[in-house]
Amino acid sequence: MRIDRLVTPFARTSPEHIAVDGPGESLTYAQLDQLANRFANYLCAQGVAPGDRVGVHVPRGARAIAALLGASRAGAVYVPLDPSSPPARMKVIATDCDLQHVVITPALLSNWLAAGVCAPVRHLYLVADGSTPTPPAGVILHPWADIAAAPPAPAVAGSDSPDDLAYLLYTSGSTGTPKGVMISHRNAMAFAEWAAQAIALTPSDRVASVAPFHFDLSVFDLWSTFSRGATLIIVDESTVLSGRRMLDRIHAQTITVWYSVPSALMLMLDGGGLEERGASSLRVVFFAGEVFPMRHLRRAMAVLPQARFHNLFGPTETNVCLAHALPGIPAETETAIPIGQPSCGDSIAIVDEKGRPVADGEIGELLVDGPTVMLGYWNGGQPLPARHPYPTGDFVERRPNGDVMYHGRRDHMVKVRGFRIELAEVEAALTQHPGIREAVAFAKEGHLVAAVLPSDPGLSVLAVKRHCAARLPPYMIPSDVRLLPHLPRTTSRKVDRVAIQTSIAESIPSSPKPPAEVATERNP
Amino acid sequence: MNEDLIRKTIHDYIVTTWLSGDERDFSDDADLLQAGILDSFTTLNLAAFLDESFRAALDPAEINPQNFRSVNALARTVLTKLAPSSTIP
Repeated sequence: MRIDRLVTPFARTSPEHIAVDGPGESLTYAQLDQLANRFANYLCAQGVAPGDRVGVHVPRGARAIAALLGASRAGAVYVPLDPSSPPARMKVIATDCDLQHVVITPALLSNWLAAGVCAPVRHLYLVADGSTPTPPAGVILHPWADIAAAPPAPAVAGSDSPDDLAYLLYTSGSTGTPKGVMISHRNAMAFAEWAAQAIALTPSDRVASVAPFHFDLSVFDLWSTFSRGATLIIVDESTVLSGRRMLDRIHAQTITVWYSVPSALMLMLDGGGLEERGASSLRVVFFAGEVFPMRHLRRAMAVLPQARFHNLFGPTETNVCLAHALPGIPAETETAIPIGQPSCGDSIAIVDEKGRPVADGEIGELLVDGPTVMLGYWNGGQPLPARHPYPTGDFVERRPNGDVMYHGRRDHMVKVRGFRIELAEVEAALTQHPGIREAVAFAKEGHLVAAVLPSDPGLSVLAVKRHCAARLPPYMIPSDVRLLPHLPRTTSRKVDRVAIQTSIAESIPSSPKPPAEVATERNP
Repeated sequence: MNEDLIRKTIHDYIVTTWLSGDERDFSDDADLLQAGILDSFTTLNLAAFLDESFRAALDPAEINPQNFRSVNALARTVLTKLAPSSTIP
């Protein structure tokens, strides 16, 4: 199966059923199918050839989706570009994948041109009417009216192979340099099909679109939804910033399926009124991307007793490779939930530093193989094929019943004063405090630092330390605790660890001196 | 140097160094071990601070959990170290 073949079957059987709902514009299956064809035909007429990259720099909504689908139907590889990314990052991405064609809104185009990031771009396709500055010489601007007037008939049939590259998702990686993860149609559909089946998705389902399109959570939102003829409800960016407005949208749109990072659900719990108002339409809650603090997970599950919660796990490189459907609210004694068992037809291995399988109950690195593992990294057009099995860099442990438990990232394992510390363990202990909503731990110049987002304004640093001292060995107690009014987030809304570390490092006025220096001062 | 000033100096040092300047909930009676402040590293650091600030060089035997249990305990420890010298004119 290929992504570009979705939608059309429902355009025939249920043409009037809503495929994408708002904001501002809704499209039926017939309309989405036709608009995608118009994009495909128009792009082909401009010389877009199979395998060419087409950037889609459009806020989440009906036209962005038609553009993604249209590019795919033209045989191209779509590249979702984050509307909130700085121009410098866009330039790196455009250069890396030789992006000659970009679908864009008039407003975003103005930003682009002002920042001068047109590098390899030769064609700009507007998805709406609007005045724009004149692009530089050699760049052709295609008005929306021309695209909307392109033939709505199916585009020339391209390749049938599910192994073609479908899209590139640029991830930050630990280095901060964007890396283009190459996902084939087979990769994407292995997850989309598995997820649709796992929750018995039907045309009457109303699936929330919360995740940005450049973030892999959106693969479910788009392609699982369209594989079953369901309706996608766009929860736009400004709504996602407010727990109350998100909850309003769930109520108003009777959303049945929700997939987001845990922090979006926590926003609805703290300040969104979820505990008072509930959300009776929700029948499925998928979460991924971060560890869901247990206390908040229990709260969410208690107020949504009708919803089935699923913990999905996997890096962008493998999409979802493990899944765990929670059988019920975890007991108070449980300190973590499993990331589950292999899903989507994938298989896993857990190995030590030398690549030897570890026994059940021992911690090792997670390796994944199977249909969801990416083709490779784009790497400036000289793809680096994925290693098989793919080493995720995640530390896990398998329990005797087959459930896999998460023990943090390889790059979140630090050494402080000789002690090996798993930062996830420190963070889990911190978030057990009822006055702490979220916490991030990291090592800085030989010290363990914790950035804490309190849910209780009365929370003191001393209270945080006492809480840690009662739960953690002394070497795992953060020596530097910072209470922050908010935690910076990445555009995929995960907590931005790099930004937190940078801002705290800049604000450290007097970090305690290591004993060696103190000793030197005493005995010069 | 009077006891109040010693106490305040130690109190302020701990608040600045290990509590990110947040004084809330922190009393001079607070148990530093239970507060997650005291460990082998911070104990050495505190001992060095007492030496630098008050010329109160502690013997290894004096660096024990009892003397370091709270700001009050630390202040008393410093006073006992200072007592003999302060009587010298």
